[in-house]
Amino acid sequence: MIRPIKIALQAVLVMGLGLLAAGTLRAQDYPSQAIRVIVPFGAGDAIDGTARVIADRLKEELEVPIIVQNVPGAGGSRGALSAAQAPADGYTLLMGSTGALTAGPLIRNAGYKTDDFVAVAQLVEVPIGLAVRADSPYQSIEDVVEAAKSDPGGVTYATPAPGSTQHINMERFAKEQGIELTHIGGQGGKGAVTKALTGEVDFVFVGASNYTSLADGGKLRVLGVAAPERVPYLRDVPTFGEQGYDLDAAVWFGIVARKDTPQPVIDQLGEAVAQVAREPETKTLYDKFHLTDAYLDAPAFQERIEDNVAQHRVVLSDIGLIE
Amino acid sequence: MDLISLSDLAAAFVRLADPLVLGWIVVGVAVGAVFGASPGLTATAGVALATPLTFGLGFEASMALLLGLYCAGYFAGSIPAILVNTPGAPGNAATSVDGYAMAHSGRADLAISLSVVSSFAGGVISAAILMVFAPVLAGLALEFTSVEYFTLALFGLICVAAVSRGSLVKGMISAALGMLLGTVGIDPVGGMMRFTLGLPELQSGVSLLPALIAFFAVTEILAQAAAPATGVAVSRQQPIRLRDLVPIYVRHKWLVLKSAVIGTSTGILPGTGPTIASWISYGEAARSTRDERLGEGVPAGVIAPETANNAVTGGALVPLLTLGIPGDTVTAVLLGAFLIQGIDPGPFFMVTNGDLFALILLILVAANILILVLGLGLRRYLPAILRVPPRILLPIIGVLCATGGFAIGNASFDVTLVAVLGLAGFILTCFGFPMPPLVIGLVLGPIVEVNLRNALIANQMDPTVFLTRPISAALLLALVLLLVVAWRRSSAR
Repeated sequence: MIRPIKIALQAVLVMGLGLLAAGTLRAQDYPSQAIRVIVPFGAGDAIDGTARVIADRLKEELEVPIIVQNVPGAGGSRGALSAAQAPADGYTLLMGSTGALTAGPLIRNAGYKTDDFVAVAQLVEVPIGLAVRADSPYQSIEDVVEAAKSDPGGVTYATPAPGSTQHINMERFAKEQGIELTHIGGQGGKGAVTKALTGEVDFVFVGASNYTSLADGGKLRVLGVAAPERVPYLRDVPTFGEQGYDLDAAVWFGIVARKDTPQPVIDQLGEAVAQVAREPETKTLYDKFHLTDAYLDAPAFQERIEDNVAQHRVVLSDIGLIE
Repeated sequence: MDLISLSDLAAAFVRLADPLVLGWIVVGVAVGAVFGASPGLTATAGVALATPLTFGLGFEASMALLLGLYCAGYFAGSIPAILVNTPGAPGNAATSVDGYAMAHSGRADLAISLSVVSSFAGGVISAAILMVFAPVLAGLALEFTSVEYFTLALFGLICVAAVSRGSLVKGMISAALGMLLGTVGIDPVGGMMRFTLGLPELQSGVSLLPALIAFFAVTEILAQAAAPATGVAVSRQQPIRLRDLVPIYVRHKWLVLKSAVIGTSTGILPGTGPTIASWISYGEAARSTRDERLGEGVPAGVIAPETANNAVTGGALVPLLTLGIPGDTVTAVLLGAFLIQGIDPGPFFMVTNGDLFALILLILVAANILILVLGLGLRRYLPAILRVPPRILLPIIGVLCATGGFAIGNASFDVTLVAVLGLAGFILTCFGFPMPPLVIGLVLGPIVEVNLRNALIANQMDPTVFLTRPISAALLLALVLLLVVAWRRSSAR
C-alpha cells in the first residue's frame, strides 16, 4: 500500500510544480499551454488528415499539445467564425481555406471578416481542373469555349457550391472569354463530379485531385488543369496555359491566426510550421492525398490572401453575389 | 465484369483469420457502438476520428477497425431510441416510434432483439448484394440526376402519412414546419443567406443532429417532466426467449427482404443515407402490412427501419468502390482512409484489387456477426435502464443532450439551438403535432428544394423533364397510384 501513496504524492507534487511554472511562464514564454487548431471541415477529409499530421509534428516542435478541432459547416465559414471569436493570443489557430477566407465573408454576413485573421503560413493547394464525361463531344478547352459562344447559357457546369472558389474562377474565366455559362451547385466536390458523370451538366470544375481514378478508369476526360505546370497525378492532362488560355486557379489551405496576435508569437509559429512543412514525411503525406506542396511564409501568404480578396470582389459583383 | 474469384475469397479468409485483424473488428464494433448510441456522436464522427489512427496500420487492420465501426455505428443508435426515445443517430429515429412504445409496454427485450437481428440481416444481405451486383448497380447511381432525386424525395414524403397518427392534417403541418426549418442558412442554389435572424451561426442551417436531439429527446424529457408523477408508469419488462423471434421473422420475411433492398438502393445513391432509408422502409411497412397498430409498438415498426439502415452500409460502398464516389457520409470519410493506404478507389478497383474487395466483404460479414452475438448477449441487461426512476434518468438524458449538442460541431451555439428547438417541439406536441413528420420534413425538404431548382436550371426551366425521364416518370406514377388507392380505401371505410 505504500507504493500507490508514493505515486499519488509524486503526482500531486508534479502537478503543483506544473501549475506554478504555468503561472510564471505564461507572460513571456509562448507557448505555455495547449494550442487549438480549428479545421473548418468535417473530420476525415484530406485537409483534416493533413492538419492532424502537421499538428502531430508541431506538438514536438512547440512542446505543447496541439488539439485539432473540427467545426464544419457553411463551406468553412462556421469554423472560421469560431476561430474569429477566440482571443488573439496564438492559442487558437485556423486552418484557413480559399473559400472561407476570401469569398464567404464577402458574400454574406459570416460574422467575421478576412482581415480578422493574419497569415502564418500557406501549406498546400489543389489546382482546379475541368473535366467532362467520357462520351462528351468536347475534346479541349477550346471546344467548350466555342460551344458556349454559339449557345450562350446553354453550356452547364457544376462546382461544389455557389460562391465557391471554383465557381468564382470559372465565372472569371467566362467573363474573360466573353462567354456565358450556367452554373449548378453540386453539393461538394464529389457531388459536382457526379453531376458530370450522370450527364446532368456538360462539365465539372473542381479540384483536380477529385478526378484521378475516374480519369484512369475511362469514365471522365480531364480537358485541362488551371495550374502553371502539369500535376503529377494527371501527367497526360495539359494545363490551360498549354492550350492558350491564361488561367491559374487553385484552392489553397494555410494556417492563420487572429489579428492582433503578438508578432513574436506569429514568428515563432511560422518557424515551427516551416520546419514541419519541409520534412520528407510531410511531403509523402501530401502525395497520398494528391495535395500540391505550396508552402508560403507569412508575408507571401498574406499577399496572396489580399490579392484573392480583390480579385473575388470583382467577380462576385459581376455575377450578382455581392452588390 | 466477373464475379469475385474463389481464390481471392479464400485468400481473404486467411487474412481475416489473423487474430490481429479480428481484434481490430472487435475494437471497431465496440467503439462504433458507443458512437452510435451517444446522441450527437455518429458513425461518421467515429470513423472520422479513427481514420488518423489508421495511418500506421496496414490495409487489413485499417478496414477491420473502420468497417466494424461503420456497421456497429448504424445499429447502436437504436438502443437509446428504443429505451429512452433518444435516437443515437439520425438513422435510428424511425426505430424510436414503435421501439419506444414497445419498451414502454414492457417489451424492451423483444424490441432490442428485433433491432439486433434485423440489423444483422440488413448488413449481411447488403454485403451479398455488394458482392454479386456491385458493377451493375454502379450504373444505378449514374442514372440519378437532380430530376430523379426530386421525385424520389417527393415519394419519400409519403411516409409522413405513416407517422401522422391521429391527425393527418397535423402531421402535414409538422412536415411543412420541418421543411421550412430546412430552408434556414445559405441558399444552396443562389448562395444567399435565408432566415438566419442575423445570427452568423445559423449560416450552416439547422442541421439534423441538433434537431433530432431536440425533437425526440428534449421534447420527451419535457413531456415526462410535465406529466403527473404517477402518470407515466413503465410496464414490467418481460424477457423473451430467442425462439420467440422465429415466428415473427417467418411472418415478416418479405418485409426484411424489401427493407434490405430499400436500404441498399438508398445507400447506392450518393447524398442519401440511413435516415432516408429507414423512413422510406417504415412508410413501406405501414403501406404493406396495413397494420392499424403500427406506431403503437409492433415488431414491423422496428424490423423495417433497422434492416434498412444497416443495409445502407453495403449499398454505400458500391459507388465508393466502383467510382470513387461515396454513397453516404461515412463512406466519404472512408475515401480518405483508402488514400492513406495508397489506394484510390475507382473503376479499376475491383479488377486490380479483387483480393482487397473480397477482404472488405468478409470484414463486413464478420462485423455483422459480431453485432449479432454481442447484441443478443447484452439484450437482457440493457432494459435495466428503464428501472431507473425518471427523476434520476431524465436529468441524465438532459445532460447527454447538452453534451451531444456540443459534440456535433464543438460549438456552444448548438446547445442553445437544441434547447430552443426542444422547447418548441414540446409546445407543438402539447397541441398534438407529432414530431417524426417534422424530422422527415427537415430531412427531405432541402433535397426536394435544391433538386427541383437544379433540375429546372439544368433543363432550361422545362418542367416536362420530370415526366420525360423514365425513372422520374415511374416514381411519379407510383406516387399517384399510391395516393389514389389510399384515398379509395379511406373513402370506402
